[in-house]
Amino acid sequence: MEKSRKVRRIVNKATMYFLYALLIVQCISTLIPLVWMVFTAGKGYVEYYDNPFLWPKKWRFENFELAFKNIKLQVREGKKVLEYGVLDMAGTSVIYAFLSSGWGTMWTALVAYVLAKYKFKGGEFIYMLGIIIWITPIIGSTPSAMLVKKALGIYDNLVLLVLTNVSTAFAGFNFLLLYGSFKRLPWSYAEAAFMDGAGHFTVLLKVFLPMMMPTCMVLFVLGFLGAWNDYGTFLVWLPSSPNLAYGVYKFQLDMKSFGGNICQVMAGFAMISVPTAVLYLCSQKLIVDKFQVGGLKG
Amino acid sequence: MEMQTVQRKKLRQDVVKKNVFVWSILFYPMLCFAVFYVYVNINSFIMAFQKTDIYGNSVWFGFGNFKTFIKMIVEDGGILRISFKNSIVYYLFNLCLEIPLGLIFSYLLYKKLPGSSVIRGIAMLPQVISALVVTLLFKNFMDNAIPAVMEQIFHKDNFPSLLSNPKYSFGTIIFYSIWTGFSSSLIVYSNAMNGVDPDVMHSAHIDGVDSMWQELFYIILPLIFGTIQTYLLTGFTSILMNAGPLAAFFEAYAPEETYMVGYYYLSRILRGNEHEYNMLAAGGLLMTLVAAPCTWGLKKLLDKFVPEV
Repeated sequence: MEKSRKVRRIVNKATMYFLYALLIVQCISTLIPLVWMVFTAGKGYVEYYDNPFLWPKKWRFENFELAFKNIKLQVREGKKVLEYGVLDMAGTSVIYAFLSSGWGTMWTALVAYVLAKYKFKGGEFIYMLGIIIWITPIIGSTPSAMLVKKALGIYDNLVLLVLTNVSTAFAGFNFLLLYGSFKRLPWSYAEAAFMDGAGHFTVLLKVFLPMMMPTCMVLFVLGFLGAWNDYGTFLVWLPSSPNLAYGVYKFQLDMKSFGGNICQVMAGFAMISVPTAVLYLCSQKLIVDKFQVGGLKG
Repeated sequence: MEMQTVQRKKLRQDVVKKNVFVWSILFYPMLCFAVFYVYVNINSFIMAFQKTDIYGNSVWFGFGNFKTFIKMIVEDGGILRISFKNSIVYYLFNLCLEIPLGLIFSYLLYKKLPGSSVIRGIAMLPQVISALVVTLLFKNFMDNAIPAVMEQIFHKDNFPSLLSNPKYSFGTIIFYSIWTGFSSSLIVYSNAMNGVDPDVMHSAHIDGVDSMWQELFYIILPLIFGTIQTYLLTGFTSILMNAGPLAAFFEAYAPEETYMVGYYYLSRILRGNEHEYNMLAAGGLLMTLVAAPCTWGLKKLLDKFVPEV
């Protein structure tokens, strides 16, 4: 009896460590392309073709310089042809990432606060509506959205596109995360503030939002990272205001006509990865600890 | 009496102030919802029954768009038929491999084996550093590096690019999705597991639970089923909307063998085929009519397994 239990324990441990080894292999494999990117960005074109996997014999930082020069995008605007360089596209990336992440997180937090903390006619309905629209697949409405956004002048307008992108602020992972967090905070804080003469906005801004700041920061950082790397929105909705991710994406699709090669493409990839890598490393602990999703019962 | 009137007046003022506050916050998102969700979908519904004539006017077309869409689905070897097949295969791989692997690996992180905090950090890399860069790196790796290595080490000339060759491309895309896909779920699941009360685990051990699988299946999975349910539902919801990494790999011109329904729609929009919009809207309506009740049926079924805690 004791022996069979011992054997079972050994088998159990062995299985666990075997699976853990698989996980480690998977993690290492995700690092391989990143390391390969750095190697390739530091090599000459000939050296790359001689040995695509080896450490560069001599680091050639001119690839970064050439990528900086060659990554440019021409956009036709009426009769004019506008050319966007790396700095223009980086500027768009910064504006878009700050604006879309900040605006989105702000509205999600405000709506989550109101729905979690106030009882009013329609509150429950809006909460349920959020869950319904989140999990009900409405397929194929993009053509209609395209026509509506073109008619309203939102298509190809970065600021308007971001400002109107709060139609589902009461649905989705972020909303549920904030809703749950606000729900857990006791209302007695607000009652004490009301007694001291505070209004609803003061209670929100000075009592509850500061307590929710770490969670909001995580959502902001994740939103920022997502927006920084977002090429899809620019591909479909903002073709005339390219960001850096879209520029590099276009560059690698058509590198020969830009006068580039694989080493410059990798240098371009490294350039757009640096800001997000730094941001992630700075906020890694916060992100990894706070990233939680609850259930959908209701 | 006067005191009561004053109190009632103050109470009414408080209610008005509260409602003003609540609706001043909700007004803008609800307005956006009305225009960009409700109106867009109503417009999509109307578009499904219209066609655009040669002068660019929308005219009534009855069920003509629906007939065209259905004809395209049943057409043998047609691109929509391939897209449906691929979307379902893609989802099944996600369901049968990505979710179980994500759960098992999350359990290992939850057990805090040596190095688990480093692995948690690395796991998020493909998602947060740059999903686009990882996708494009993978593409370049498959198109350039792997053929070069095969040539140098195994002396295999003309080794095909696994991504560009139609014979292997869809399999390679599925591999890529699984390889990078469970990284964010790894963090979410392991965080949910960390919320399991240690006393519950302790009692389970006293009751004889002593293997990894017993712990996972009898204690942890039932307790975090709410989180799993969310992933199962959102995965199911996106079967016909998911474009996978196809746009990043191929922009609007992926090999036909790799098409999925979400990508089919995206590629039509990227190519600017406005004359197809009505047919796409009809197809979307048809698919919604099938997918929405299925999703809600699945939700009702899964609700039964979520513990009341």
